[in-house]
Amino acid sequence: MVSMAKFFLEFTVEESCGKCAPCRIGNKRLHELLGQICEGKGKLEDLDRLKNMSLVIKDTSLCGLGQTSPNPVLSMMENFREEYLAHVNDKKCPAGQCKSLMKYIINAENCVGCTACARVCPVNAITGERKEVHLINQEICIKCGACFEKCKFDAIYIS
Amino acid sequence: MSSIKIELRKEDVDFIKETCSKFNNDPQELINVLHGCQEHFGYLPAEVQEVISEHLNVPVAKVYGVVTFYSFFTMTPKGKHPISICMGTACYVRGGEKVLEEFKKELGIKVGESTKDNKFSLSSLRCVGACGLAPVVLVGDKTYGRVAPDDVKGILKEYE
Amino acid sequence: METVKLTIDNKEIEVPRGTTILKAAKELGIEIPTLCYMDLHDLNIENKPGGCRICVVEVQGRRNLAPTCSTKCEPGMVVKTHTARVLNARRTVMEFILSDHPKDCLICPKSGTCELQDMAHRLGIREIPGQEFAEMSTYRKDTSPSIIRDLDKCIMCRRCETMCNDVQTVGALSAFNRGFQAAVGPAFEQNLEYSSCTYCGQCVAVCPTGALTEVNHVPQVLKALNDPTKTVVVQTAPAVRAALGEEFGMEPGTLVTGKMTAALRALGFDYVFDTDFAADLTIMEEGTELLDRLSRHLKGDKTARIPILTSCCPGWVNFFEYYYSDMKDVPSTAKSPQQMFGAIAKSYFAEKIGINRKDMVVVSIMPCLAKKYECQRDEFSVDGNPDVDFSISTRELATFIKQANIDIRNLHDEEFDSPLGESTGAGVIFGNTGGVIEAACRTAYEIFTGKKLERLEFTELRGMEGVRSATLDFDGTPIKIGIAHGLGNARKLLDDVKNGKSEFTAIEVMACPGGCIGCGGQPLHHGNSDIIKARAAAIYTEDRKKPLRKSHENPFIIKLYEEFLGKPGSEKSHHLLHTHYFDRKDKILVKK
Repeated sequence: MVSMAKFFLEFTVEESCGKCAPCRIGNKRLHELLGQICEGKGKLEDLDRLKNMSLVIKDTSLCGLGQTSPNPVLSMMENFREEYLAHVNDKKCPAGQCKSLMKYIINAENCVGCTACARVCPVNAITGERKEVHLINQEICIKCGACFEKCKFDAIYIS
Repeated sequence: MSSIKIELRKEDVDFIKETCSKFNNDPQELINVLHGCQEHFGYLPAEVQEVISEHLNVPVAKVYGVVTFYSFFTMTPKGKHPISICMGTACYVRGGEKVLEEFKKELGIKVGESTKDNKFSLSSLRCVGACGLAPVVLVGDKTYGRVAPDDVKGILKEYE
Repeated sequence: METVKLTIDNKEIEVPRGTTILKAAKELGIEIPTLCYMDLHDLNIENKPGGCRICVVEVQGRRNLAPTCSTKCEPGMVVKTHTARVLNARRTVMEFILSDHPKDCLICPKSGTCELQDMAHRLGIREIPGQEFAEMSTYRKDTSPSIIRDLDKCIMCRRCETMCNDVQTVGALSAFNRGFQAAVGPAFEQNLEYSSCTYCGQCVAVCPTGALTEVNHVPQVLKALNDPTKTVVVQTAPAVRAALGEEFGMEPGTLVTGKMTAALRALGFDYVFDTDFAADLTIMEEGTELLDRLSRHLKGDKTARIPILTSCCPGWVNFFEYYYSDMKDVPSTAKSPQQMFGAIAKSYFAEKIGINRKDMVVVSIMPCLAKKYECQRDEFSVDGNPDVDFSISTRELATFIKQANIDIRNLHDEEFDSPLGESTGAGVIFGNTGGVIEAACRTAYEIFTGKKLERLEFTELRGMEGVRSATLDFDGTPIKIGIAHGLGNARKLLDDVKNGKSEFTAIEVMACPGGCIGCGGQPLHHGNSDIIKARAAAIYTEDRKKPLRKSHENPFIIKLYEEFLGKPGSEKSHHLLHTHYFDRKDKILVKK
């Protein structure tokens, strides 16, 4: 839900005409703060800031765009607060949408060692001998999801 | 915004003049004149804007302001086959972004750019009203629905 | 007049229908903070794009907050200007604006006179949350001969755009791009130098931040003053003495002629002269040209173009060279007083004191930013040595005086040096709109009619209306005078001339509203036209104080002609004191 709110903001940042300050700059800052939260860099007090910025942008913007642009943020914060809290407190994305917060992990029980994942990995983050359980190096992994899509044995899951 | 330097031929200048006079050289009709000229030239280089400015009696700074304000207007020529990827809500949640990434990778260009051979240009837009077909890709006038990243290569092949 | 009653902060007020909440509150003594808003009452120009959203208030029954600069009072309205909601919104919006503004206030040329800085101070902003990951909108910096544009500091108040388009009709600046990347600049984001910009500096005069500032030439002047091989001569324009005091906390309209002269001497200038002398000289040349054209015209000579246009104002010259280049033969060929001064100083005066022109540095103190460009024009130099080396604005002079620890308030009045410091009242009034033509008429009348002018003050030529006209009686010959200040007003008169509809004999144009006293290099008036009026009054006071008030009676001008120039319009005069005009569009194209 956090990344969804960010997606909506992306739209308003792009569509803002630039005439009034709260819409021109405020939406940008809102989008940036959501980005921070998606990357696991958010703090609990950022949720209050998010809310305050949203309310002020709605309250002060010149036209309908800015007056409604923070609505997704506000309604999602209200109805999916636990998701926001998970992002800032536990640095976790329950929906598995925020790349920075997710991990691709190989389930040893399902992995047959076919090496398909290692071959498709664009950054060579996956190691393992043929017919042996493979391992993803989280330091190198860029979370592109290529291995996840390639695996025929459902051996890769997102945490 | 960078622009490509071109030299206008006499018939080009005449076309702009005619377009302006079609709208009675009325400064209020600037946007319509720009539409007409972009349709003709494919884009709006600085030289075209200067001629429009002169005939509509609008400062060229204003003309440039309007051109850079509306995303429809462009100062760089679009590719022969302009590709637009829908980023509306429906297309986005059904993976439009991944399709866009694939196009970027295949063509080696970013959104708003054209390929070196000017064959393709890439842009994203917000909802074409075909949400049932999400994610949607437009190439020229042709619409492709339920596009998966794997389909991208095939789509491009059609235009080779 | 229909009125509406409303309540602002529990106080009732009745105002004419159509009044904004901002103005109604002001009547009640409530100063709602504004940032983008600018009211140029006398010009009938109000800049209220409603962009900054700082002036918002709570209106009972309204869903969102209302911007007071553009919301009209309605009957029964209940307005609260300082609720928690309002104060929080104002602060948050200000934080937004500051988050996209450089924080180099300490070394910003606008520091101390910056309206954004003042507002941050007034609203008590102490931190800008999220700054560490906030992207800033950045642009290329552009330095032209007169004006520096640093768009990183632009807050999109659009005041410059209003001045450039609505007041001046120059059309060099416009908003471009959209959203976060939006800013104001010339077409194709090119340098100002390649645009229709006239360097009038009105954009600089109204910019609330450091986005638009003048090019600082004080370091070059300081260097010249410290060079023992150079004789440094300074000239001061009439409008400077009526405004410089404001930079030192004096009331607008305080004349500081004597103190300014003393300060310039204290700064180390070898000769402290007065542009007013050159203004008197301008009258001799321009007046002669006017009379020559007029008498030929009256005799039916078709080549004698009437009206004649004044050519003292470099912003105006730049304007017609760009927009009316097909009418290059209409303006007087007389150089501006600044350039006449330079030409005489580096010829007549240099000879007199026995030095080579290359060893003389001429500095001008001007209210004007276009003068910086003017003195850099190729045609105003001899073998690469400019007639006027550096032109600095009133504001720059003030900073210079402050840097040099000179307490101008307590300096004793001093006199200008002779001979290029001697002037008449006619030279002084060059600083006001209508002043050049009034000065010209004082001289032209006596030469044309051969009679003594009894009434010196042509009050019918004075005032603040943008376009004025009057018919003077030159002993039976009606002389129709047109006056315009502000280039938008000049355009009106020019279009008439172009279409052959103009009935004027002579037209005076000054590029800036109010004339030189309202120029772009003057102390910032922040849109308060009372300040400009006070400066105008001071100029007329100075005129009345002068024993001689007609240019042709200036004994040093008479001497200059006797010793050096011959007579007005002579070959030597033409060589030194007259110029020719270009098609600036062509010039710009070549440079591009």
